[in-house]
Amino acid sequence: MPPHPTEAAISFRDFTRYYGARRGIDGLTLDIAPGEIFGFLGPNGAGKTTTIRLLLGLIRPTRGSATLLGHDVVGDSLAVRQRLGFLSGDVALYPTLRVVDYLRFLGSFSRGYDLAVARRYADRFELEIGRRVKGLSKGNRQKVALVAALQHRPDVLVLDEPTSGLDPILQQEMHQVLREERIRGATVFFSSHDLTEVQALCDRVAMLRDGRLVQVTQVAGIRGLRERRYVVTYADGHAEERRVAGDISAFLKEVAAAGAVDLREHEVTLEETFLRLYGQDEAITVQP
Amino acid sequence: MPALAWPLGWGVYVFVVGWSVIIISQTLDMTQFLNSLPSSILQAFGIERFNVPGGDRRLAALYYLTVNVFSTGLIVAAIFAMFVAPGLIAREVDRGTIDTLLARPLSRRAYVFTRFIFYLGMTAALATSTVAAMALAIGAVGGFTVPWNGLASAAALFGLAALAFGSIGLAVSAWRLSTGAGTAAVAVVLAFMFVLNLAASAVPWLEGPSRLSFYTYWKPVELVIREQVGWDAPLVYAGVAVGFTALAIEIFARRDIA
Repeated sequence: MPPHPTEAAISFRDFTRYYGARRGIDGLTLDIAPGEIFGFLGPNGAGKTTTIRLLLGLIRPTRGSATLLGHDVVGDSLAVRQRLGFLSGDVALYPTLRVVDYLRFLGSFSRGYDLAVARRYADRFELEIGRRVKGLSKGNRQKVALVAALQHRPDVLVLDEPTSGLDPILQQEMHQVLREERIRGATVFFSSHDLTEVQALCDRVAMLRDGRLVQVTQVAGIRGLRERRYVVTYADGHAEERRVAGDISAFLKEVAAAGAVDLREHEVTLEETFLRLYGQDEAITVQP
Repeated sequence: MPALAWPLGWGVYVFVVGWSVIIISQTLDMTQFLNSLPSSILQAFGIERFNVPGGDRRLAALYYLTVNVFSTGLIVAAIFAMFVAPGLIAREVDRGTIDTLLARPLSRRAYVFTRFIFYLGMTAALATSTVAAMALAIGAVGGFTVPWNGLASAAALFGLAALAFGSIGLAVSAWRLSTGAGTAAVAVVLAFMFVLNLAASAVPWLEGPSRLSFYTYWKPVELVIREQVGWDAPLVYAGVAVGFTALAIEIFARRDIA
């Protein structure tokens, strides 16, 4: 089936999935541009994994539609899966296989697969592909799964919490690989609840809560919204925490007049910003 | 350990077959001993009931052992194969590998069909190797005429029974996405067939349906040697296998992998 002409790499329209009465994802409407690194954020149960499983065709939407590179994710699922690479949040491999056999097996489903690409990624991650999977550490298994997702040079990468459980060095390496994939032209769509990671990597981010899209915004824009947090210590020894947004000159004058003897600034992370946003209700506007 | 299971299983199987052939070949001497026993003792074991080529009662012991040992192997192999089927799909779900696999451009129908072809091959290999061992024991070691038609129909019966009952387990496991559910379904079918077979001896009108219970055919000496295993039950089993495999494919193709 030929793809529908569309400018978005991934496009959701009223994408909805209920599990009986329970809401998985409800009314998701969203476009992700080609070459974009897009973060999908939310606490557990927000609907991130449901959305990814819908994209992969593992489950079917209750209503609405979605396309990936113009291919309908329900009606043209094989074409969708031909063009995407997927990394599961719960990495499960075949323990008795050697890594190279596992990679070859998964790669064999994709057209034009070349094991040499897998070997290059494996070398980069210092992964011994001759070893059996069952002897690998958790981090190394994660590397195998990542190489399996990348080895057929997919146009879209769908990653479900890709760096959970990885050590910081490997996280940085993975971030670098994802940036390079973007330069190659791939679109990266990943779910996370690690907001520092999103801050470091993403162009845009969507926040989900209870199966509904709360906000879509540029990461840079969120940084602009962020508050600064100060711990002010006064001459009498007591200290207080203050949050200040925007111009701080008035705040400085106020605490100086009150006898402040020490002022420490603490970074307010995106996580704290989002948690405050999550605390708000539906009043938050969606900014596509 | 799972990687060793298949070669280990086949190794044990070949050992048992080889050992049985040796034991049976030694029974040629044993039959002379048995033949010297009073007729009443032989009758107690039902040996003289068997009509063997030439009518030599000494040969009956050999036939009895040969056919019973290997026919028991056949039914054990069939039951083993039945319990493999529920894991063909659901094991991937149980161990969490299904998401990664189905994220590749692989159609679900092709996935189930490929697994079923593997299962078909495994069952055929079990049935064929068992029949070959029987023929070897009867013909090459025993030096008797091999009842090929009886052996073929017995192999078809038990092989197709394995496919039929296994496919029921496959369909249930595809529906429930659980190896345990499929295994339970096979166990229930086997139990039902057993009860049907028992009940048929007391309830005359159950005699017809009981012919679909493969326990009915667990009398291999009479049935195989006398070539009394018909082709009606194998044909019904074949239909059940095709129907339930198609059902399993359609269920899995449409089912959410939640």
